Amino acid sequence: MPKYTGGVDGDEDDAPDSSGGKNRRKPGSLGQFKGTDALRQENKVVRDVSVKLGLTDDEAKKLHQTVSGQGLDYHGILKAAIGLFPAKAKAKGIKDQ
Amino acid sequence: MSTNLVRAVEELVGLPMWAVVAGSGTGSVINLLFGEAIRRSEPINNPTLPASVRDCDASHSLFIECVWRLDGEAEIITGAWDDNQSDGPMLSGLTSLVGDRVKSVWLGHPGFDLDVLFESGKTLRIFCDQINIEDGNSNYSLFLPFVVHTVGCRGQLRESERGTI
Repeated sequence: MPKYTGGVDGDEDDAPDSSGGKNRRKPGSLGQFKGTDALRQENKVVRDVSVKLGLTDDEAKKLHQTVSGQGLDYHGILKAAIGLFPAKAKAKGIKDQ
Repeated sequence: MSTNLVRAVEELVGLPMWAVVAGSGTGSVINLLFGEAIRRSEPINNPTLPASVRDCDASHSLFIECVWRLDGEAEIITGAWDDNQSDGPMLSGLTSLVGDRVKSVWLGHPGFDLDVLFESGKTLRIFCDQINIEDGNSNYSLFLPFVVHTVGCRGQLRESERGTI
């Protein structure tokens, strides 16, 4: 799987690094907590999706409310954003993959 | 425009906080809901949210994208870099604010850091650390019923119309 490069151009290398930082707790595992790097990575993924679609502050909040707590990766958050703002996605030529 | 922001943050005083949106997948970014619950035109499709948030948005809310910390009177309760999983300290700490009312606010200059003091004695401290113009990240947005006040990158203020809830 290609490493996440932080790009916002819709290429495959927009895919996030699945490690999400050190010490990330996998579903069903115990004892490991998410560190600062993992949280920064999550911040970046959501911001990148917002920038990619050109979301307003109002829209970014709505996206946050829709995805928060679900532990989605980049593609999951992008898919949610496209579902919420299909006109913006269409205008930017972004399709759900 | 900073006068407008001062007036806007003062609108929080006296309002109860009734929900928080934060958790896995959205890093340190949090959304605190105050004031009245207004029914959404369409529910939010997020099974991790309480029904009150899925069905309603808040008349007033803080959407915080910069660093923050929640202090008790004698100890730190949680902060932006605590574990954000459902059983982690971030959510348990923030949830302790539910039902608490805003007692006062303090707005700093020139960066517009914001302290929100609650009746319980807890203080939410918002540190506007987003100053890199290249990144262009916002610090926080205050949503009022019809307008959104945003402290953008490097203390740049903007106001925008709030969309349909």
